[in-house]
Amino acid sequence: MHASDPTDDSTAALREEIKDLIVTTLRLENVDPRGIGDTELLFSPDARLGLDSLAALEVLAAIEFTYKVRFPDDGSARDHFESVSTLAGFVASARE
Amino acid sequence: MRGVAITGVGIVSALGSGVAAHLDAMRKGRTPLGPLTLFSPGDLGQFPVGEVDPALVPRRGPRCIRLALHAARQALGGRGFETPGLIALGTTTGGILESEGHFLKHRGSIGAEDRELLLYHAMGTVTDVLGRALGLSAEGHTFSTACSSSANAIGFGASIVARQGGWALVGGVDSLARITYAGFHSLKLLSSAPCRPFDRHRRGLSLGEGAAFLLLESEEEARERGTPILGFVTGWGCASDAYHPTAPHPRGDGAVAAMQSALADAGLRPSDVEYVNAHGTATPANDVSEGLALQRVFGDDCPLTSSTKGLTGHTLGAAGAIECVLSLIALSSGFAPATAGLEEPDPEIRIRHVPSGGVARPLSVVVSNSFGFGGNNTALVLSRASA
Amino acid sequence: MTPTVQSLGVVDALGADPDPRVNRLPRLERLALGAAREALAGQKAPDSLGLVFATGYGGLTATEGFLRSVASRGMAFGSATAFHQSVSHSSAGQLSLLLGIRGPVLTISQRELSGEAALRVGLTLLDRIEHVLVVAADEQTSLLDAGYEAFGKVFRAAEGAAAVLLGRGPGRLRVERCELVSHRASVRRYAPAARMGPRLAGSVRGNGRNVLVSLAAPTPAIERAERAALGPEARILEDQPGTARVGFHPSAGLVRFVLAARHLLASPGEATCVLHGLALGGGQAITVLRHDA
Repeated sequence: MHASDPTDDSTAALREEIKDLIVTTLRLENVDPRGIGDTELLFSPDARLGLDSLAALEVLAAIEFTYKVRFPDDGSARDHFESVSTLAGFVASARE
Repeated sequence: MRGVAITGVGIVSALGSGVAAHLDAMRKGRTPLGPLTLFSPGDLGQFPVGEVDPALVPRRGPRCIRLALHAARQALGGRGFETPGLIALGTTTGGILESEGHFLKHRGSIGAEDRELLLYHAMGTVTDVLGRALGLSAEGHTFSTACSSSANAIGFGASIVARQGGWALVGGVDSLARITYAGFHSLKLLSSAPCRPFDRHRRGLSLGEGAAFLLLESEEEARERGTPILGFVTGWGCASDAYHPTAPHPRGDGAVAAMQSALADAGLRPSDVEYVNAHGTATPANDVSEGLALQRVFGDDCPLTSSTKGLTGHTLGAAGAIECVLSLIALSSGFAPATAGLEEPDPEIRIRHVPSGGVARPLSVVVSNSFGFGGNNTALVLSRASA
Repeated sequence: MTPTVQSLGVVDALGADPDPRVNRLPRLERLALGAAREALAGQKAPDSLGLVFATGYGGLTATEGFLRSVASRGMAFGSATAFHQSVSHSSAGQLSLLLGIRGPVLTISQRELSGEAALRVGLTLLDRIEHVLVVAADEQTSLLDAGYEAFGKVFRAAEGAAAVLLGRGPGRLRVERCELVSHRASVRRYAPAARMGPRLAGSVRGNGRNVLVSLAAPTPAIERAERAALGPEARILEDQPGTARVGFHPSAGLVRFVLAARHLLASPGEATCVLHGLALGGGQAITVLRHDA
């Protein structure tokens, strides 16, 4: 099993935390964190949640603060923001 | 606009104080951007900024007011007026350096200190205090349109003088502040190295602070009095992107409309313009959309263009006025400055950069651009004083 | 060209909006949007339209929110949303986005004369553009309340927004004058009665017989000074039966303008209203609104 394997328990817990963090940070009323899919697209215009670039910055700051990690500032950070799963994967590997 | 004469000018920034110091800095092209010492950046760390030398403006007291007074006194040159006039000032920070410091220290706990918290917080207070300290009888207008604040203050003041004569002290001020330093960082717009406008490797803006003012008078009255005329404000154009809260329109629609409207106001054509002082913040988005906007306005006949934000930093609410004064200096001394920080021009941005070292040549018409958060785009047109 | 009032809007309380995106906007923007929408109700925004937005203290809730985020998490973790919402111009930017306004869009901040200053700037813009929407808004926060208490007890601190659509075309209401002056006064004080009184009285005298006056009245003491300057014969708008007293906030001057305009429109015999404005720091505004019945 890899550290970022979706069936890994610790990453599963991290994914649930990140869902809670997204809903709390962005104050999304009527969105149940449990209803956000692990691989559901978060930030594209067609996405159900349709979060924009400002929302991404909010989530970035919240993740950096909560997990004491730093996203790279060379523009590659956006790749990690595709879904809850990619975010969790980044945090898990950054913490190692 | 006709008959709006510039009869006084004052400026203070990271480059120093006064017209001569700024012309010298534009010729040398060396960036003064360096470490932040005005307050502690905390865990955010150092991003290069353009601070005003404490030897020029002491650090005690409301900073915006001290900076504004320094530059406004230069512009007035000791003059007084018999009739009331206008003060139009642009700022985004106002007295926030002091009010944020107070808030962070007391964490908003209710007490007698709170009236001090708000004393200078309202941006209109800077204008009130400036007028009183200078002994001027004037109606006050404070513009706060983010990065185009003082360009709009200048344009508005000029339009009043064009319409009804008299005099107007116009310009702007902003100080460095924790809220803007941390705020632009939260938007990931701050560059960890001194900014590089229009450069292929640009990574964001560098903040600055300062103040600049122009004294505007009706040309007719200035000539009657024999007051030397330094130049003219001939055009003001302002248009909105209506696109996004923080990002500029990708094709520069609002910027195009602002430049065209300013030129129409001046009764000039794009081919009359000889130098453009660009907004040129060195953010990936601004420089590309501004480049497109310049192409759309000027076509293949793009005038010499440079950004001076590599010299002063992005002075936010003061930028419009500081860059208007730098444009006036370029006009009256016949020198177009190069873009400090530009080493490898981004091939996607097809404008005619002022070559390294700057260009000495007579200039008659200059455009100065200032584009703000919330999609506000402003352009000013300045024309040279006739001999 | 005499500027005319084309339409009006006012909000003094925030309710829930059916659009959840509007409910998520900062408080100041919701107040402003409510008034602007009312002024534009039933009409497509004119093509040639500018916006002048005024606020005395801007997005205080957002500014406080950003400073709290920095205080609790550190300078490196400020809230990007709170920051951009605390920029004074963000309300105007958001309004221009939601209402599709592409002409000049300006933000003015002139303490307790913010509404009047925006009107003055808007009137000037009519030289350049056919319609100008003037909007003024201020939100109430406990910080601001505490601040004002220290400058003198105010009459019912409140929040609110007003909007006035100005045009060059025909209309029953004309804005004949909007003038701002500045008297010598400390940043913590209003202009002394000896200075502001004569100017107020002179403006009313100069406007004929059938004049209603709307008082600035930021504090009871100043209201007494205004009434003393005007004399017992003066007809005060706020004394008229059925007229609501506007709670105090930096944009209240434009709220009073809207209510005065509506009063004139509803009262065939009334021809003129002179509106008085005062700000800390010595500013004074006189606005003359005429009704052609």
